[in-house]
Amino acid sequence: MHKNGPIALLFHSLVVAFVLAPLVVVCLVAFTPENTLSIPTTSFSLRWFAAIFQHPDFVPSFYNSLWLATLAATISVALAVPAALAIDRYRFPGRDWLNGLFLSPLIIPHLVLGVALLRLFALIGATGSFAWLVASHVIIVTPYVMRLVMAAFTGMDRSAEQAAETLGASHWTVFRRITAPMILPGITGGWLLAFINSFDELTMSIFVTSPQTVTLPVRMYMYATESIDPMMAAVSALMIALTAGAMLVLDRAFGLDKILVGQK
Amino acid sequence: MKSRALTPWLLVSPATLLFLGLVILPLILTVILSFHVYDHTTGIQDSFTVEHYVRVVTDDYYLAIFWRTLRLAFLTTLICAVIGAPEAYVLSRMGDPWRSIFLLVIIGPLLVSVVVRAFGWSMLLGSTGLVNQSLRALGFDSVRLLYTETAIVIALVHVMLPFMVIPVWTALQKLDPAVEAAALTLGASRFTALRRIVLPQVSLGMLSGSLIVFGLSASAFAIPGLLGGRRLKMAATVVYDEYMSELNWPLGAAIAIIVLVANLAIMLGYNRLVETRARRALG
Amino acid sequence: MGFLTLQSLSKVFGDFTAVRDVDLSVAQGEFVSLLGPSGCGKTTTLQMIAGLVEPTKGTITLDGRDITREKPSRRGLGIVFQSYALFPHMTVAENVAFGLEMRKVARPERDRRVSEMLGLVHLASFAERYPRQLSGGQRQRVAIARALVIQPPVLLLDEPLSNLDAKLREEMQFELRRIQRSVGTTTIMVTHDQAEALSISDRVVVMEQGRMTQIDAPYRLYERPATAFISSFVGKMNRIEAVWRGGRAEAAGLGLPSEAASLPDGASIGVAVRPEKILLGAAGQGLFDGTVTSRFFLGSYWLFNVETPVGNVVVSLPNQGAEPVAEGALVSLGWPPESASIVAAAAGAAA
Repeated sequence: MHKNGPIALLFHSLVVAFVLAPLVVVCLVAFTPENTLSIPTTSFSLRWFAAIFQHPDFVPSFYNSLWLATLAATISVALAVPAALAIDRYRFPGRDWLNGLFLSPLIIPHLVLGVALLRLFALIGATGSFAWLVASHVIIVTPYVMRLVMAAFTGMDRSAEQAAETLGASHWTVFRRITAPMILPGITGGWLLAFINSFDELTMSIFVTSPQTVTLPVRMYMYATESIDPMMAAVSALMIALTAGAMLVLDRAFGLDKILVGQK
Repeated sequence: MKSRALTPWLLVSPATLLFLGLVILPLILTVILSFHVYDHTTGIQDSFTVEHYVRVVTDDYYLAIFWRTLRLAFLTTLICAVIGAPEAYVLSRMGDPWRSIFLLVIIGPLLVSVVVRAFGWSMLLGSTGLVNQSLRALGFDSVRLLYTETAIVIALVHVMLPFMVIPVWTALQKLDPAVEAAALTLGASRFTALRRIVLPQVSLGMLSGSLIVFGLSASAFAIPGLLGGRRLKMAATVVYDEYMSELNWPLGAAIAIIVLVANLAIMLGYNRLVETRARRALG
Repeated sequence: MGFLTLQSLSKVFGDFTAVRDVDLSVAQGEFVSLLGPSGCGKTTTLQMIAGLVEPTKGTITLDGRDITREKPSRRGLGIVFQSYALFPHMTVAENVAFGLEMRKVARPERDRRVSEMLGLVHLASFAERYPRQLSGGQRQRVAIARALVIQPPVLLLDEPLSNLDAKLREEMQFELRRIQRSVGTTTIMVTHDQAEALSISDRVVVMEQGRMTQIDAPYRLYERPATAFISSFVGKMNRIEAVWRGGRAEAAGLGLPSEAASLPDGASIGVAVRPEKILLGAAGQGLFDGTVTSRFFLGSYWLFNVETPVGNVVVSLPNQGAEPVAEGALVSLGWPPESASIVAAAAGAAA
């Protein structure tokens, strides 16, 4: 019944081409055998991928980011689940205000957060500390976890909990056996989204990382502002592959549209 | 009864402490910092002044940067609305499985690091990039794109497009498809149905998308940093310079606070607007 | 004293009284329905019995034990929720076994009782399915099995059939009654559907605005509605505004036969007659004549709207196979005195 006309489809193709162009180019250039940024025409080479692993900075930065994102996402889930539970289930003074506070990193530019955290860390002598870097990433990823977990709480059938209670389950048993499994998709989705956002974060991190704690995006940014060679394309291609993998998992498990667009 | 009243507080307290310590406190410290006197040889002083704010709003250098930031953010928002809203509409009219596939294609790049996307555009737009190669192949002169405002806007649109598509898509999902069909059966043309029935319902989605896009564009860092070069500064890159090269933290803090206040003002203004509209719709 | 008794049970939410002084005594093995429109307090009453809502006032006793303040997890009642509230991440068998698990029933015993219960609700072959793989009627039976397997003293049903389509609902009514009979559990069902309440209950409790207004066997409720509200809510009812004069009801100068009453002369009253109690005849043969303005065929019976001197009267006639009187036909209406009851006059009706 609803059909898109030829003009609509042409427009759509152009938009898709625009969206994919830079990503496709990055992936092609990554395989060039040349020393310059060029699209390989005659032969493909993996030399620039090999170069990444010989570069003294990229590998530690990658592991750094991996650890950072894992810790930040996990801590964020540990904080957001009880907070979301309290906000969803209880009416208490300051509830709306707290909800706003937990979502505030979405409307405070990361630039401002970075500057502000740099000032705090300088004052308490925490600049360059990995632990504080993790804490600042927890701040920026928590809104994503909060939103998904809150949606899971509001979307679940509360009477299932009541049913379990009337069948003789204690409060703790109800949470462990009924509530937690029912909101698990929200928690897992929130964790993955938090992980990706932490792994990709640049603007705040560039202010609060030190040479010892430089994350992969910061390293790439620094590298790209100084020299441009195909190794950057190879790193980018790896990042795209990694993200695409995570996206596939997310999509298979929960439906990516649901996670990014929100509950329908 | 008493323990029950305490439960929510226990549940929210870890997150609250972290957010008070790492959001509210640092912001207060930064506001204070922006009023500190700065001396180029001795650094941050213990006395207070408003000279950083005065300088930022009177110095042509900073005014030009603010003006560029607003102009490029506005342009980005406009282009995103013009491309994103129709694209969301086209997507919503697709059948499965194409609809989910293309929705992923359009909003998936959201998860790809912005550095990667900026780098992709710098390769496309460079003097030997794909765009100029194609132009030359077609017999045109090559154009300078990289390190221009055009490059910044193109890449910003690319990064921000999902933020426009998502709210419009959400609004379209809530729209009963039969409503448009009803308008058509009542004798409206396709265009009239679109303009009178669909557009008013998604305008709120477009508005909220526009705000997100404008806010994020105005504080964007990686795109102007990588595609604007050393000369074309925007608000975020100039803050970075003040902090990292000039070491004038109080001045950088003042600019950051201005960016924050502008952002919050826009968001609160939006909320007020949505509330009045919702009231009118209900009343 | 009944098996389950409610004594002046009340619930106040802020300044809204949801349930007001409800007294009810239910005998062991009885099937009682709480009937009323939405917002009448029937669900709140059920939730207070279940322990999900704390009463503001009054007591609930079960088999002589005061359970008013007991936790829902300790009451041991079986509850079927309107949404069924199945655990989506557990199989049918796991759902049914949950209550036994909470009671620490040993594994072999638990398995035996679960399969026995699934047999009773005809779901034995669905034990390993998940709720999302079942139809609405099957989910409903899982919910019943889950509530019954713990052998509760009382089974509480909250609008158990409202999420089913019309045909399935009818089938499940009888199914529900069959299951309840075979286990003999005292049952309280909340419903807004009068046909459902009448067909399966031993007794029906009608609730209006938080109060109980009539407790009776289904047929008595139908034949002798205590209030004007019940007469219109339960089944269809004609209501003719009349005046009591000389020991009989009069409307538009016509004497209307009715049950005997001792009322002062000139009192405003209503005469209530069920549509199926009215006899249609040829013009001039009954109490008064009227014109058929519309008729509707409803399968097992016909429904007529007849315009008469006393107003519009609805008459129903069983379908005998042949076509009955057409629209526009002149007919006569009549009824025996015992079929018409005298009710209070509608508010605002002048004498």
